[in-house]
Amino acid sequence: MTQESKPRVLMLSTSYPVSEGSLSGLFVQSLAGALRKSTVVSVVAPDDSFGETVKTDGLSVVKFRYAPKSMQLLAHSPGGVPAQLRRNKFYYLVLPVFIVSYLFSALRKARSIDLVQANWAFSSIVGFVVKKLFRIPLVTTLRGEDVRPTNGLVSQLLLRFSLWASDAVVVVSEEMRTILLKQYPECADKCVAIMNGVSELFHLAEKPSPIDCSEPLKLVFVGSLIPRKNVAQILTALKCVHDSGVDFIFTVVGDGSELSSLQSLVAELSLGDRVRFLGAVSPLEVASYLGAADVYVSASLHEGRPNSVLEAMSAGCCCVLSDIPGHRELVEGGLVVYFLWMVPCRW
Amino acid sequence: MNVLQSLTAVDIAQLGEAASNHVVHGSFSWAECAKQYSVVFDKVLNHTFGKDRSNNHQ
Repeated sequence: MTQESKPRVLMLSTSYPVSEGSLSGLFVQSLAGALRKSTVVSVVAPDDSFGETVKTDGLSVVKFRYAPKSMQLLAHSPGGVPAQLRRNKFYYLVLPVFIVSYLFSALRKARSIDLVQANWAFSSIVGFVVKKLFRIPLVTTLRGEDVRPTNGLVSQLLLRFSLWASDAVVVVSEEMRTILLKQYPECADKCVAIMNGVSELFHLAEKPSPIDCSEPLKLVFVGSLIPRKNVAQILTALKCVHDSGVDFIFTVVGDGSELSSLQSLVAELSLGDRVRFLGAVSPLEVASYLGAADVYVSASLHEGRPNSVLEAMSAGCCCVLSDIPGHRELVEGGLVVYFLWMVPCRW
Repeated sequence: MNVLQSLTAVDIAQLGEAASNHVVHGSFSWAECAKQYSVVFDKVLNHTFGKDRSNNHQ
């Protein structure tokens, strides 16, 4: 396919690694990179608070400003825009400028495109305006947070708008499609499930070797440290593992609003020499930690299609997962997995 | 009762066995993911612009 004959796609995303070293929305970047083979992709995403250099990786990336550099914290944080709005009401003041700036940047890029693709329901607001003004189709990709049965009224309205405004809707798991169509059966024709890919970084060259029981069990979690990930429950369970005499090292990879409370919990449980927090690290380092681990643990309360679990599986980790639909879908048809039963957490 | 809370050496050995025999269900590359997106894009472009598939009227 020649460059001229490829469809020109404008990708809108509130999470995208716009600076060197940024770990925000890496999977959106992976998708954009993979789409280059069959489309010409341009990306519009918000600026972040630390990097100056636009990280393009050969793609046309426009980052928009919406506040003084150091105050651009609405996007790119663990959990994205919704989590930041829940965390600090101040960000509601920034939101109108964010949307206007997002829209302005998208309209500037939209002059020569054939299709707009919005990531998350929020971006479909901007995508819809572009669609109407330039008479081009809108494809929206809904991710875990968007199709959550327990979402509040605003999120439900946003989802409904997104479904109405889009010519096609992509969800990232069959389970999400089932949940969505139960509520909106009229959208069956335009809703399709496309799973996220897994980077080759995580693919095993050979089968993993059995766990050496004479060594401490190496457990790992990778993800945002936000309430939905429920890492406190893992720590609570590990206290019992520790007390029963099983030797282990638990590595927590990721950052988020719960970091300090989880560190306090570790101290309270006297697990300081068994649990280490590494913060956010590069994908290459994540692959290395997953490759070195025996067991991946996730106690998430809700997931769409958790990339970190797929990556852990690809890296050869056995998984101990919470019993939720987003996890069950990943393990049907072969993989033996121990499910972490949901129990109330004392902390 | 929680599987992590009841982990014993036997369980750990079973976990190791599971890890060495597992297949990843439904996991595929980003290239495959992009192919599926292209099908969706083609469909909506055909519907919007017809056979030409591009926004040449702008």
